[in-house]
Amino acid sequence: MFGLFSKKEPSFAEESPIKMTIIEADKWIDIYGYIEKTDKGSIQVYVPLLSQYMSNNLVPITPEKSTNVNLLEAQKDGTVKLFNFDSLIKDIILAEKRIILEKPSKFREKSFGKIKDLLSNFDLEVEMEIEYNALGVPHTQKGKTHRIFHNGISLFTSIPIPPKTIIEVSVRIPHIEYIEKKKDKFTVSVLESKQIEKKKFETVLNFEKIEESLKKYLLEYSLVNQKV
Amino acid sequence: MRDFRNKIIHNWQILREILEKYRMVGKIIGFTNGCFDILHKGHIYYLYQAKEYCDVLVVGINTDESVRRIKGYPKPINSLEERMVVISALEAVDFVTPFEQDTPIDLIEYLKPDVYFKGGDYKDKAIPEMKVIEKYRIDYKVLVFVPDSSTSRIIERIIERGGK
Repeated sequence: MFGLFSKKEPSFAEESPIKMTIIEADKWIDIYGYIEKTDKGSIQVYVPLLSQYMSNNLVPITPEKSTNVNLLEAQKDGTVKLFNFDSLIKDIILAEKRIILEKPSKFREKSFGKIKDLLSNFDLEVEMEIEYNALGVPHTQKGKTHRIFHNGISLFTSIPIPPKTIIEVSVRIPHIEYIEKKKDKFTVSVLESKQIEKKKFETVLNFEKIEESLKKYLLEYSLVNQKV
Repeated sequence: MRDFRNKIIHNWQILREILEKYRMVGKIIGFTNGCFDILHKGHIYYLYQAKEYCDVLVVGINTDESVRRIKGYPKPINSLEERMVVISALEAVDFVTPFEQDTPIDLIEYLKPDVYFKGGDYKDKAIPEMKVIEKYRIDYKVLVFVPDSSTSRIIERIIERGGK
């Protein structure tokens, strides 16, 4: 059910992507950011979209709240590990977009392969909000990915989309501060639309044009959203 | 204290999404089911025992129609809504959802809990849910049965005493 308890603690390396989940009863929120620095007792996380998260109507984000954390860390051997631990929010500095977490003592971990290999071969179930429109069609649609893989994405659509249709997709990678204009967009072509159930199709889209940096961020986002 | 109203989830799909989130953060999902018509000591012991084995306890509750089919008239005494409210108010219970089938097989298959609990009176008895439990490798735990605790017994006592 879980990864093994880790004997070696993460190094909390700067810029490691992090996801903090707060669940309250039937509501939850995922907060994304990256590690800025750490000391003996706490972890300082930079959260680019902190003000948006703070204004959510689902779960109040306050100091002393328990949170479950996924931390993705690159290892010296070129592999990547996902650590999971329970923590506590010690402080929130809204003006500086920072959340201070209590440093935990117990961790679970899961190892993935080398980043270099993953970039050319991964396929993970992960939800990510996207906006997309078929080239030449002004109407933009909002949706969520179902899978992200090394060569594209898939999403659920209510109608099938004809193969080879070219679609422009824009994303907001939540753990990244800012992506240069136009580099947060990629184009895909429809490979197929498979019917899953009535009025539900999994539409598989292959990358046509994507920045390598964006592909790396998509991989990071996909990995930090996995279960340990 | 958690509001009982946000423990009652009628829509299985919404419940599954919530449970998936708990699963993602490493929580163990437990499931049990029943009519829970007139709450008694046996129910309380049972649900609190179950909660010791899991982080999130989900209780499937038979609809009025299915109770009538399984147990016959005049059951249930309390309506589905009343039964769900009472069970959801227990601290040991995290979520409550109704099911209209005679067995919880479909609900178990849909939610895929980590642990499935059954009362001690089912010990050594073949249960129809077993096939789906084995299929999804769900942990199966039979909990200690509290003797002389049953809704039928309470109804009998009320009748014996002429409702006084």
